[in-house]
Amino acid sequence: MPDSDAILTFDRVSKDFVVRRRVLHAVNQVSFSIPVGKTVGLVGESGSGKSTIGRLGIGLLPATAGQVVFKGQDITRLKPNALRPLRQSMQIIFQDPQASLSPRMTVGDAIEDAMNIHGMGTPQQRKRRVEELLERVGLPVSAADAYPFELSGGQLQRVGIARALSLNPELVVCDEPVSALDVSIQIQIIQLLQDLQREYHLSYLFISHNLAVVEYLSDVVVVLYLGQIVEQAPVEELFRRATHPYTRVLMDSILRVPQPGESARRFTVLKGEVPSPFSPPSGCPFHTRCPVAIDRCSKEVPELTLIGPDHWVKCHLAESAS
Amino acid sequence: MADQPLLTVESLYTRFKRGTDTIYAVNGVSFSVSAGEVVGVVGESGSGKSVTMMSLLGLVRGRATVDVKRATFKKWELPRLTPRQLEDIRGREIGVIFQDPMTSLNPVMRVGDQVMEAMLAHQYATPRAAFNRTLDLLREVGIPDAVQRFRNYPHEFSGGMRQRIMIAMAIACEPDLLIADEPTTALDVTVQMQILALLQELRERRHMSIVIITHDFGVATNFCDRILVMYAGRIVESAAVAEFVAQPAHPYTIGLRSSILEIGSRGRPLSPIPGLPPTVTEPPKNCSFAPRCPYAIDRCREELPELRVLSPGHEVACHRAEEVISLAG
Repeated sequence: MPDSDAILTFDRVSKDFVVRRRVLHAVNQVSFSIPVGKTVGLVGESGSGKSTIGRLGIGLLPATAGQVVFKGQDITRLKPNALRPLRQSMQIIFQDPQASLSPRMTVGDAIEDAMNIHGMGTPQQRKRRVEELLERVGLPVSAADAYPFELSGGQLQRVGIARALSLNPELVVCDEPVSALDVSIQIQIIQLLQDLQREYHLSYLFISHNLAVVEYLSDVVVVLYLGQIVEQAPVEELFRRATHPYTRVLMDSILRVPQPGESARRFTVLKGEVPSPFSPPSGCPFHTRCPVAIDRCSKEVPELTLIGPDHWVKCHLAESAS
Repeated sequence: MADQPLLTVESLYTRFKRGTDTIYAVNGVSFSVSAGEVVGVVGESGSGKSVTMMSLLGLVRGRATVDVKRATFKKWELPRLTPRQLEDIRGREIGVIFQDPMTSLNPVMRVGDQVMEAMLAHQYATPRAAFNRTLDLLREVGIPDAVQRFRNYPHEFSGGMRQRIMIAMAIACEPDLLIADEPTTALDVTVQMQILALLQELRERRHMSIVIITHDFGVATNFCDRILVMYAGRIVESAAVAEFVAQPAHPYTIGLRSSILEIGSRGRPLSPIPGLPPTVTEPPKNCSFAPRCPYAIDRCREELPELRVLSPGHEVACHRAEEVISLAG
């Protein structure tokens, strides 16, 4: 159901990979929209398909089935030539900025590179733009002459952000952008991302395993397990009324610093680990680890059900649980 | 908890040569670990938290110089031991686990053989006994089907399962001290919980001391008895967890605490610590945190604050700790 005020819509999108002749269903029938100027947070553990969805969203990977619609255009059907001008409006920030920067290119050249490729401006204009961007992301203009190895992780992430901004994107996929950073640096970057969103009216697809970061930045949260959406809701609703047993487990796995006088918590244990996506369990994919699973859960795939305002849950027990 | 220190370290210094620079990674660290105690060493990258522990174990890489006045573990004076003797203590008396089990496990050796080898190398058990004990250990750390899994190679396990195998190897010779360097950082949150639960269970069952090195205050405050906070190669604060959460006294600790996003932070303005942690290229002569500290005064830029007792069991390296507590509320 492509949504007119959405910048990006996933409509029943699936993605399979073939690895050594075996099919891996990385993303399975996923549908959601990112409203213009808003942030959708994608949460899940390894193998949940969250990074794959990020790459599908900006056309870095072709979908196996379904539609990815960017500003009214289905990018899954576009030829590379037709996709290129759109790609300028969709950028990505990676977890490890070092890996995405050439060690032999100065920071200034790396930022200018993207503008070069898209033929933006004159050399002088580009140079000025690099300086503006560096200042905007909180780096000294002199950083343009530095090589990546001379910068810290937080500074490199600022370079990654400057490079993504250089093409005036409308949509930015942020793939675990703060996970590899020190705590004191994480919130500097979160604040920067938030300020930039307001300033440039950016839309974000924010991928993270950290629920607190997702709560802080997102308007809508999508919870994934083994390539499927298990719960989706506006942020306040989700954190007030988490309903899927997996979402609840994720919330319960956060180790909060105790309040004064409060004793340390016991470590609650969810049995097992995420099953192999090559052979996902029958029925509900979470039933093998679910603390409240019943017989039906191993046999029948639950439907995504509306249980509150824009609050969707894929669980047989959702109605009784909510 | 016994008060008998198992490990006592006094004035540890470690520096590295990097190109023409000298990096002062550890700058006069003193602490002790009691029998059965769980101590968390918390800090950001470059704070010296790993280097401190690895210096004691003879595991620092590169061109490093380690100076220490005293490092007593049980009956041994660690700095006086030969590399061979230290290697024997490591593994037999002190178990070590790392963030990434893949770098410490041999990829072409069956995991069961690796756990067995941990015992055989230290003449801890006969081959027959080591075999049986390996099966027991694999079960104890939660590897299902131990007999079959004994024959598998590391790549056939998930990250969480590999960390369990590392733990089995580390505890095989029943060490009195386990040093865990970011043991759950690379794991998914639900698996992190499992590993912490396992370590807690082992600690209770075996009355083992644990030093856990982590950047995560949530892990440290829920898992440990006492916390050491490191910054720029020095301990800046040390306190029992209850005191630590009730009354943090060092501005860096307070700043880090308020940097942590927790559920419910939405809409709250963020208060980041400005600037970056320093790379220490000369021996510190003043407070390394002063350039980022909202409470810094001239004295902080002139005089190195020593770790001093603020209240029984609570030590802090800040000239203004008392004022900071009242100002920070």
